[in-house]
Amino acid sequence: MSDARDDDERAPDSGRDSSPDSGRDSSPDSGRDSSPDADTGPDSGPDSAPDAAAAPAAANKKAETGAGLKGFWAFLRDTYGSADPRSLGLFRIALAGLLFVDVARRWPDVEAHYSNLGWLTNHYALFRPMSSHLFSVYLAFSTPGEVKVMMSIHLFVILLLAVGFRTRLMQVLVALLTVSISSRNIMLENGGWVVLTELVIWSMFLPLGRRFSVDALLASFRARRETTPAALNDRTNPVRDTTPVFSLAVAALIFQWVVIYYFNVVHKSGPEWRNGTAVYYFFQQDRMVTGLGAWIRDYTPFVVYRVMTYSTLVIEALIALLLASPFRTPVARMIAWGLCATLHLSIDAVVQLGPFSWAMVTMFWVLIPREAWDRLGPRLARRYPLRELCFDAASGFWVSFCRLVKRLDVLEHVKFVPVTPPPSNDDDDDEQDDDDEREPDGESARSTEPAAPSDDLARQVGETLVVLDPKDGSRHLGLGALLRLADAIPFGTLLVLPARIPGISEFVERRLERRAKRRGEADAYYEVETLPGSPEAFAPPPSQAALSFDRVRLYTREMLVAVLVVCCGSQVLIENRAVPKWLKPEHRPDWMTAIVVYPRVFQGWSMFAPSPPADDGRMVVDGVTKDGRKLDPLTGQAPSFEVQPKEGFRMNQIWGDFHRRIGEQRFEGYLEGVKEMLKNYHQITGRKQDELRSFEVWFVNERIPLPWEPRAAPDRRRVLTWGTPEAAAPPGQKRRPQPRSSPPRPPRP
Amino acid sequence: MVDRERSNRRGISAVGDFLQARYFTADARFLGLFRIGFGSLMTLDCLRRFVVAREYYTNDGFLPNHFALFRPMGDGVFSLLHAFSTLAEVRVVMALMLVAFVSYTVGYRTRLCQVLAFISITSLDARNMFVENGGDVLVNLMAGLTMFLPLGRRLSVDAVLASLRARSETSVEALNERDRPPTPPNQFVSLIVLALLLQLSVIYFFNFVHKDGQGWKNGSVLHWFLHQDRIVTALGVFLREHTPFQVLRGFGYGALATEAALPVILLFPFFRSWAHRIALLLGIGLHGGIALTSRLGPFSYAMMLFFVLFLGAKDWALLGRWFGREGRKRTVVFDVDCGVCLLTARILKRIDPFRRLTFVGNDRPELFPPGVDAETAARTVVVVDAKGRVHLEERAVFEILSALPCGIVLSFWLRVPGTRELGRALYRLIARRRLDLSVWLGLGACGVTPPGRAEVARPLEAPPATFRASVSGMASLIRESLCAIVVVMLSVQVANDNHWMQRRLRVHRPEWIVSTVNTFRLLEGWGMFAPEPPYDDGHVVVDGRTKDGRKLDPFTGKEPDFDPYTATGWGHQQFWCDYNNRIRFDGHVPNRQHFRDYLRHWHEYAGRPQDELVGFDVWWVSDKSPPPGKERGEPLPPQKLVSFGFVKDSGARAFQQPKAHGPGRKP
Repeated sequence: MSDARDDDERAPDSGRDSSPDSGRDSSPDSGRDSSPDADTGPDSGPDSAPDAAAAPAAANKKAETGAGLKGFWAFLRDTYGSADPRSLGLFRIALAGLLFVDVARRWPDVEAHYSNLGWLTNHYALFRPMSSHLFSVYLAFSTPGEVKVMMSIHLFVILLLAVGFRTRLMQVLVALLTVSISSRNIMLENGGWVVLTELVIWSMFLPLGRRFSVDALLASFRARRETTPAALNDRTNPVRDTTPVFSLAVAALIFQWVVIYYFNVVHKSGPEWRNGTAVYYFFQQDRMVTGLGAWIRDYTPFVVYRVMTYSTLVIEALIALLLASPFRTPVARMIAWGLCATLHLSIDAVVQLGPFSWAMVTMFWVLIPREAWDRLGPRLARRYPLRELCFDAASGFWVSFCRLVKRLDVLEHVKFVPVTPPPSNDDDDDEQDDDDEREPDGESARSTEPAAPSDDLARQVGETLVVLDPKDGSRHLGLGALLRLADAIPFGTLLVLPARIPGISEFVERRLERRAKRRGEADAYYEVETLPGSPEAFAPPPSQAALSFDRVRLYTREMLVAVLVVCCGSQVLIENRAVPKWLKPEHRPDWMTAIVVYPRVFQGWSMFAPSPPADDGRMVVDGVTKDGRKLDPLTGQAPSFEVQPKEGFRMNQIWGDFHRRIGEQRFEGYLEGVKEMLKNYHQITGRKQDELRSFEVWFVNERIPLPWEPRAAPDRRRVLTWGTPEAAAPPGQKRRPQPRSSPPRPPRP
Repeated sequence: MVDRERSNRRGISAVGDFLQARYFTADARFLGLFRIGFGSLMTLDCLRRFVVAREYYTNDGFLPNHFALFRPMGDGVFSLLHAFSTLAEVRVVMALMLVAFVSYTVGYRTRLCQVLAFISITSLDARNMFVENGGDVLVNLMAGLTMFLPLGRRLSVDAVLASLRARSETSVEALNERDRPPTPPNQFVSLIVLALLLQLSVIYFFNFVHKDGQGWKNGSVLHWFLHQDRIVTALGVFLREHTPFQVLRGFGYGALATEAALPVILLFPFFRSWAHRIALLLGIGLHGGIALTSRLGPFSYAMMLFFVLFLGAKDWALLGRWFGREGRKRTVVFDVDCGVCLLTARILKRIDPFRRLTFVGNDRPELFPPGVDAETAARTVVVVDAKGRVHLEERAVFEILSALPCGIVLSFWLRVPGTRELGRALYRLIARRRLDLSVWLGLGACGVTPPGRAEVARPLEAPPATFRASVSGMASLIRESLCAIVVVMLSVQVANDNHWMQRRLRVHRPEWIVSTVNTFRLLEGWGMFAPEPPYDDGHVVVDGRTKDGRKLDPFTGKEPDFDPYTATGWGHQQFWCDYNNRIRFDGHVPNRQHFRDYLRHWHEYAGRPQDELVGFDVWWVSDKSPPPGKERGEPLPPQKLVSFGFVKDSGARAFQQPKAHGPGRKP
């Protein structure tokens, strides 16, 4: 089966892959992250639990680097195979954000491209798959409603990944769902989809939940149960996990990106790249250009295009070199990131390439070096204020609250100060008094006061949450205290943002007061009466059995990564033109092909290579509604055959690729589906008056001239007709009839 | 006035309690038993589909996924299996489903597995509705309705794990304190219990009222039933040959009477325990008989399991009398220094609901039963039974497991010559290394309690007025709301699916009910072998010609046999039987192309290249079932379903003009 993607765009094309037989898709195991080499430092326990005895990585690195093979291996591993767990945590959040947007952007196009109201019904996609080894859960869903339900589940899973809840499971589910949504309609697949899928697949083997995640938070709670102020202020335990992650998957990611940039450079061998006109043609692609791009191109001197063309090549080459560089890797990679962001985000600003640019940039979060955390961390910390949280150490609720704050306080800016309030009177109804004192803006009138004597402090602790600012000695109460406390925590302001909403703020204020005044009631409600003063509990160290099991999981994981690396490596050799023939494998086992094709981790990299497309076009539907209006359902307006409108076609990537490809001969088998979609148009819009009684579908195309060249007349090619006197199925098209209603079914015996 | 109000309130409360106890309450222990049985049923059901996956669930078989989606056999049909085309893909998915079913059965992550099991069973049923029968619909309904029940609260891995977390015993005295940790409450009150009760009653009621045909009225139904050669078992054949007609008639009326009585018995408000027991026995009698004499898929087994849901505390006490009898008491002397041994004892404590085991540490020789010495107790676990006999090593393990309800299922192999030696070797291997094993597992040894393992107690059930109770209360509210919606939905569906109701009551079905019912196959039409039993019977015969000219029916492996008569029944598996019975209808003509494609490639799937068919005709061969007193029925002309290539010398010609065969049997 030919692949749906366009050769002259991104498309890693799988056309050379011919493997009609199905293979089994192996499900990689997302195991733990611990280094297989015990010399590098203490092996941590469960994935998201910090290692209490972790030695600084720098000291480990020194110990490791030595003469001989071992030293060389350690060097390689440290340079290419390690990542900081904090970087992985940030990467997880960034990746989840990207995935969320990528799925959500498809929502408006569900009817047209992902459901049986559209041009590619699930049964036809299965009957005439666009690729071998096709897998998509979305194929089980037919109606727009069903697809949207599935998409909602997909989005929910991504959210869980973002917050880091059951991270490993979510990584696997997200990988399955990402592959599924891409595979549902392969004709729309572009390089961005492939890159995003590869990012998801490779990162599936990394422990993304070790930091900045709900999993890490829960593990931290289990690791130590503090019951006293001293224990709360002891920041040495549980220790925040900074043990480097060692995995072949990190190296695979790095070299995946090197391969992408390298081949993108070498494949750009066409005259347009040499004479500097490539970016000019890029901007003339109206089906891809954004509003900003359309505006810019009117004012851009031609020499700027030349500069952009050559600088693209230079930047891509530099990024590849910097990523692969074994010298001063932290700096090199951060420079590469900067270049990558500059290149890709500027591309994304002017053309719609789907998730491509963002996926390329997102990978670099993984590579934020430990040094950056060590150096920038304290600098960043200086921006955050110090706070003192005054609490009743005899109250289980407040001790639990402090335990939570301790874990969120990554900068260790909060000090926990025990204050003994007067005995709480759980029977008092103090809410009436509170209402009298509260101001309309939701913050307590007493939010900021100068320091008072300690018995006053004790009284206030007995009434609400109290936070002190050691800098000026000011005292904050109630909701204001909560907000000031959040100031000390990175992104804390975001966390407490809902508490600022009117209505919610009053509720929070009342809750804080109630919990302070009725501490016994609060303790009983949360079943923490016995917490204060009880013996501290620590999670037992992992047993030898658990460690052995973790080691087995680790080796299994690395083995699976190795298998995937080999498969993808062979795919690199097969797919890329620049690879000499003698290096290309002539035969490859079917299972290897299946491993590549099922998750669609193709490896042919030639974005706008060897030459950018020198023509541009789109589909135009010259339709007539039942009430006599002229309508192009693809635009929702009257048909226009304009091939270079000033503002571009204003299409998103999905529609842009649809327009580009559906007119090609290799997809003519799907035109019947397009016809059905157009006939269903009124069902998609929900407006009966939009029902078409006839239409003609044209592909309108023009060759893009250089600025000094005359513009040729655009080409028009009729692709499809329906309802007109000339309507007839294109000759040679084989497609089974699509009955609108099912024949009567026999009775059930 | 106030007194009257109080009195009224008390009266209403009493009525409420009365109704709640009878119609809204289930026993968590029997819910657990139900889960084990139902989970096993679903596991076996999935396994039998796994074996025939190619034919019924892949694109090599009779119904490719694209055609099932293109021309669905029902409205709004949904199946995850539609997304998978090849045998390998389908088997992977089925394997994952099997994992869900097994987890469901043992009660691990029960809540999650209840949902996954429901989705899985719906997907399996809906993927190929050629082979869907009443049993599948019933299993679907049961899986859906029981999702609202806490099937994992008792007799489950989840319950054991929760109990282990609730109390970490570190001493023998703690082990023998059976009331700590307390078990979760046995009573579960919910609207879904009533819904299930009504569901079961509805099934029998409509099956009864729809059976108004002559065959039921004159009592000949069982005769016709047993002459369905495509479904009859060997026992069924034996019965039809050797049982006098009047006896069969009696059974036929008995079946009808049972179906009529069961709704009344199930809903009778008094003597509930006895009513449910009688209902259970009647159900086992009716459905057990059906299961023994016919192949109807999971129907009979699911129906029998249904009754288990309504057994209660008194029935558990009855079970206790058997499983808790004196003769099952055992005293277990174990090594207190061994962490693994302590953990095992803790687990045994939790899976010993009738408290037959008493634990004694080997550090207290004064407490040893007679016949046990310190040296033996240091070397192996020692079990002393109720008769004072001492058992060691693997025999001790056997005795422990045998003391547990149905433990013999797990332990019998320890007494079988051959495997018992293996058991003994295994035991000695572990016993010798038990302290090392304890350390390796982090369980402590030699009297040293591992850090963080001091005895901890936390109530399993949330005390009232706590956060956990609030969350639980909210969850209950949501659950009951959903139950109410389900009850309304299914009630409307009952009114629409049963013509007895349709004749009397018109109920409009809103769109959301239609789509939900269709998507999850929550059908409610009940009329098994109604209004009449089937009076004819048939099966598919493939008149094939191999490359070397042999005549071959690939489904029998022999020459095609067009004689519809069989003295022994066809012995067909239920899927093949149902597929046969449906592909013959004209409405499925478009589907026959896939049957043809399958036959063209069957030699590849079977790995028998020499049997490749170069031509075949597929026939539906049938006859009228013989009336009482006759042995053979009247053959009906074969009906050609689909052809490929050219078949000369068709064996069907001889049967296209049917004649009577031989004298019949006198009544």
